[in-house]
Amino acid sequence: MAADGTPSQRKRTEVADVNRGLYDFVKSEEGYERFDDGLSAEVVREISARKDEPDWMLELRLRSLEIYERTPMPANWGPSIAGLDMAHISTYVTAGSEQASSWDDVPEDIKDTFERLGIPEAERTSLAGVGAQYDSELVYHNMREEVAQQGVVYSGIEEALHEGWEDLIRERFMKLVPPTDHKFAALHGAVWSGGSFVYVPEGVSLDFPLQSYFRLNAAGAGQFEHTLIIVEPGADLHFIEGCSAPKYNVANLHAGCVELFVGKGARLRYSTIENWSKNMYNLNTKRARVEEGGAIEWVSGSFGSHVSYLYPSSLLMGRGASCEFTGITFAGAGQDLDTGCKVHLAAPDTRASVSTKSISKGGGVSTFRSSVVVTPAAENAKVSVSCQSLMLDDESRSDTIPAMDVRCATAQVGHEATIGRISDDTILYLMSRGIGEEEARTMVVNGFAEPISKELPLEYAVEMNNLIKLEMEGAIG
Amino acid sequence: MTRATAGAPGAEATPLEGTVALEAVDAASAQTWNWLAINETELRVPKAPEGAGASLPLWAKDVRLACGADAEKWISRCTEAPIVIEAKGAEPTGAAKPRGAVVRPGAPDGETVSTVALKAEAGAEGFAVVDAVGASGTTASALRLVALEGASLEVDVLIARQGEAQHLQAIGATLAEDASIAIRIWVLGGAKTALSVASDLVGDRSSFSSELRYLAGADESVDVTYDVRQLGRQTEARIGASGVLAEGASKTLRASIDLVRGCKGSHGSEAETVLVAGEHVTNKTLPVILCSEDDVQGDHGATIGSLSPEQMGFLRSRGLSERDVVSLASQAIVDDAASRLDADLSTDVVGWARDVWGGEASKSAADAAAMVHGTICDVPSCVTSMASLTGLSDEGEG
Repeated sequence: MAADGTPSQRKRTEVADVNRGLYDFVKSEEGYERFDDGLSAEVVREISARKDEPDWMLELRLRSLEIYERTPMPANWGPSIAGLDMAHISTYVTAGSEQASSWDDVPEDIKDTFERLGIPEAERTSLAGVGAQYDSELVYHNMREEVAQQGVVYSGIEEALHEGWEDLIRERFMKLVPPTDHKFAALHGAVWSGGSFVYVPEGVSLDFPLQSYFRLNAAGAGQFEHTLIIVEPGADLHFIEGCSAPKYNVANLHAGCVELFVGKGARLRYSTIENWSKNMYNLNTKRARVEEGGAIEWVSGSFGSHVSYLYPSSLLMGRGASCEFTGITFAGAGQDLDTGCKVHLAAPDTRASVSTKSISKGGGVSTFRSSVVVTPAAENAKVSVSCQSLMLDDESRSDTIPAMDVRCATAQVGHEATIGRISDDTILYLMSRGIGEEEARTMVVNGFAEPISKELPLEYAVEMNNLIKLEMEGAIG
Repeated sequence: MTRATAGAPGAEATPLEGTVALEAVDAASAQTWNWLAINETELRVPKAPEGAGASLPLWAKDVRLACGADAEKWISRCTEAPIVIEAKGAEPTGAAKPRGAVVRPGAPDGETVSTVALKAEAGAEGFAVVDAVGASGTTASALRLVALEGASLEVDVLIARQGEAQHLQAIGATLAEDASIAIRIWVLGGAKTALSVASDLVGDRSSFSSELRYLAGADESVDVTYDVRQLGRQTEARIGASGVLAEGASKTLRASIDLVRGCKGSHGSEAETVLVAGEHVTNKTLPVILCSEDDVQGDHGATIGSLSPEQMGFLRSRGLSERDVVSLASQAIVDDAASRLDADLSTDVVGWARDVWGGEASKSAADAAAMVHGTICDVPSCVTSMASLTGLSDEGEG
């Protein structure tokens, strides 16, 4: 590449113009409302009151708090979260602005944040609807009129609770991920705020994706958004989730929850590009239930966070239901990212395909963890799991810990895993063609990640390549 | 192979009263979700006598086992007298030195629980054999292996127990530069088999390989843990496991390869093939690769399942039923043991096949053994099917 970065060269890589300021900028919290740090029943009641919730939701919150307090973290696996002290985390921070359906009505600072992240531009060019959450509350929500006319609902959960969807929400909310699931699912149940409610009626297909973007601006705060998506039989939806935060020298916490219901013959693609700052504890839970002939497709890119526990799980409950998980994790300096997926096959003719890539660099720790459970009911089920790990130096760590539990005689399960590094021959070949070593390594890493990026819409694939480029800077020496 | 037998033939089994549960047996070195119940197992065994346990030389104490602290202590306390052997290299003028140990847990002339510490001196060759047989009670054996520079050790383990009998097997190994250890294990039967293999490849260019073959039917349980650490440069580790699970059998395999920082140029691989041949089988696998070194290769592959409709279609066109295929696969494992093990153990394999399967299967095993060792035993002429192993009835298979 030319030293001056000529336009033609920049076009070739599409990553040359990126700088870290894209994600790492801070806005003032002046005038914001911030609950006291720590967790108590009083805090939980105050959040609930703020949202004017029905009694059952408050009861769920309080029960979740009890479960949180009595549930230990597992002592025998997973990255350390010793640096996370809930006594120093505020569970609710809000700018206090009303939720807007026009960017012009969003407070200037917040609007500027999302413009820098490219959200309004993406909305104009390639999305059917956008939700934007800033700290604990949604600040913007909008959906194209023609999509609304098809009966699609896309709003915050709080709004949906007050707009005729309470019964459906009560039936599904925290049913796939009960508060008893694990400690931070319980925490989420207690203090959740914001997120998205999506309802796609039977037979409706959206030509463009919906996107929710979550920005955590406040230092020492937690974000606990809840995403509840119901895709009725025969419907089709692509939902994109993005998230980022500026970096602070105190711990931040993300303990969101995603519950996806995929009806008979329906399809849901759920794409995530996660770029939390590297002081973030990302303890997120995602789960999908798929009925007969339905399909869940996960596309997951994990680039940020100090510590991650993230394993989107799929419950294949109906005959012929399928799951496809495509994921990439890039762990750099100071990161311990424990990611992967869970698949539970509980019906005949179900299918699951898992393909993951992980990259470790600069002392980062990447762990691929998965579970595949094939129940006796999953006759003729087929599962393939492939995980590949790339080590970019000898300071880093890459582990693969896949578990399989097969209890069906007619199921077929295949698994393969490889760990290795970029071969010197490959780098030498590229350098002999006039490519610098750093760029050569970036090219190889981009190629390694290509099976994942090709699953993303173009602009998000470019963002992923940008993130790889950022992570690869200074990879030599 | 000429083998010197060590141990205490004819010793009475240690009198034990009551039972105790050994916890965290065969625990995985890198663990995962506890709800999967895959991280470790538990084993109920007779209470061990009080006491300090077996006394071992320092070099043996340093050898790591992966069976868990409870199990290690229990084996030690139940061991009457440990077998300690230091295999020397070639000594042109000296008398033959013992180069290995044979223990026969469960056999009339064997200890119920034994501990073996075997060190192969630089350049020496050594061996260890475990031959666990019998239809009742709990047997156990711990092997601690040290292969010094350039030494090589071969280990054969046959676990051919029956009925309610169970066996606890722990193997630990340490390898110096250019040393090699090859372990072959056949698990043919027993209500529960708990097997662990820990291996530390400390020296550069050391190599470790282990091949496990197993059969489990009825409600038998096979629980296996491998914990291999590659520390030296250019080390080679290979773990292979294959088997047949029938009826309500269960198997758990935890195979962990740890490519430790500094082990440049090393390669670790795991491969597993499981034929699931029963409607109530439970097959759990936790194949772990841990890596903190970039200049290495680690890989794992597993294939778990039954015969696909396409495979069955082909086989049916050749006149074979699914039951036939499962029987053949099972028979192949037994015949493999009979033909590759030493003559004494081959006899035990044939005996096991005769007791469990009946004449036809044992005749096949005897034939396999005879091809290698000559005629080694008489096989009853009674002929029964292998339905008891495969879990498939003789009826209804087209």
